[in-house]
Amino acid sequence: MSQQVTVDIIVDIQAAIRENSLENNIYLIDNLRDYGSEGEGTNRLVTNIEGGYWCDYSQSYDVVLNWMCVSLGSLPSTLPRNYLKSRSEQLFAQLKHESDKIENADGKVYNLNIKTLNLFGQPLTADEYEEDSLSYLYPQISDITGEAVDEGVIFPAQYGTPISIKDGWYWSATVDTAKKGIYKYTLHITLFKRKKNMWIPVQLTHDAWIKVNNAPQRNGFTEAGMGILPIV
Amino acid sequence: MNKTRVISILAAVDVIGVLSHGTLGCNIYMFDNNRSNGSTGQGTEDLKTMITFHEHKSVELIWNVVPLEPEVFVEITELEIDKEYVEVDQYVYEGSDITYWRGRVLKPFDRLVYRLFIKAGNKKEVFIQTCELVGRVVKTK
Repeated sequence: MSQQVTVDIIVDIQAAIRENSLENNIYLIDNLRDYGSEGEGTNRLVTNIEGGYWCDYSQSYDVVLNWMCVSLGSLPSTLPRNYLKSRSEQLFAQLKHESDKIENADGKVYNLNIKTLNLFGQPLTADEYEEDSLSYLYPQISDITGEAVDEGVIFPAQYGTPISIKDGWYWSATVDTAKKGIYKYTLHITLFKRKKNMWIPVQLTHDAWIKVNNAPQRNGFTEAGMGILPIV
Repeated sequence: MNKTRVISILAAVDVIGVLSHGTLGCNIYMFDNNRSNGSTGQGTEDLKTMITFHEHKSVELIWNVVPLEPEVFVEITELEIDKEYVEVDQYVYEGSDITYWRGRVLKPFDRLVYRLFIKAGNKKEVFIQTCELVGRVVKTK
């Protein structure tokens, strides 16, 4: 059974797009505050990973890192994944509006088949509100690179999931806890800015750290360890 | 044209932390999307959201709460704030069972303390988070 570590990435989307930088507009939190992680809620997170090893120093269990984007400036991630789609289907019928479009990184334009809503879950009304009532498309992680990946400490990949709030995809990595040390990794995050009814990608990066420790695997009942099975 | 500024406030709750410790303290992180206009305390329990009062602009606030891990429940069940300055109500996102709180600022203030009443996981207990709004008047010439 793996130790599941979640790193939440909170992005102030409007400010990040305006400043073209995540530096002052990103906040990271993991679920290991009580277990040695530092920088919770700031833009400098060091996630503390505790690994274990058997008497022959081989890794005794897996640690899995999962990353989740949370947006400051969108409908909350607790809404079901198909929320925009099902609301849009109602609204297209009522309002006879066009679907929003999205520009891909290669410059091609695709139909999103959704109608963007405001932060209250209602269709946008152009006159009444400034653009900050708009619900932005969620930040997406497009890659994870850097020292921690190059050194073979983490093995990140993008996985499909039916869990609604992860929007169908999430990034996850197993950790080689035999490699003790502090390693940096870079998150490649795509935000989307809006021009009329088109969403245009904005590619930004931000760094975070993992600190890998390990200790001998101990028998939870007897505290014994570093012997061959049965551990007594 | 009377433009409305909307400020989003987000509470990120470590629900597993709340359930293990039995307290909200150290398990909640507050954010808003107004740091560039003067809000302070992002990512802490001492968020001070800056509200700028302009003559021809109204201000609305929206509060949301998310859990740090997806499979757990968290909700703001009550929002206590001085009705004389901010009028709040709880709404449901149409077609879902997710709620949010929406507030309309009625008149300028220097400082307004408010309380979020939060339910986490399956605990019957309600946890309270105290936050602040800070006001600043900008006169248009």
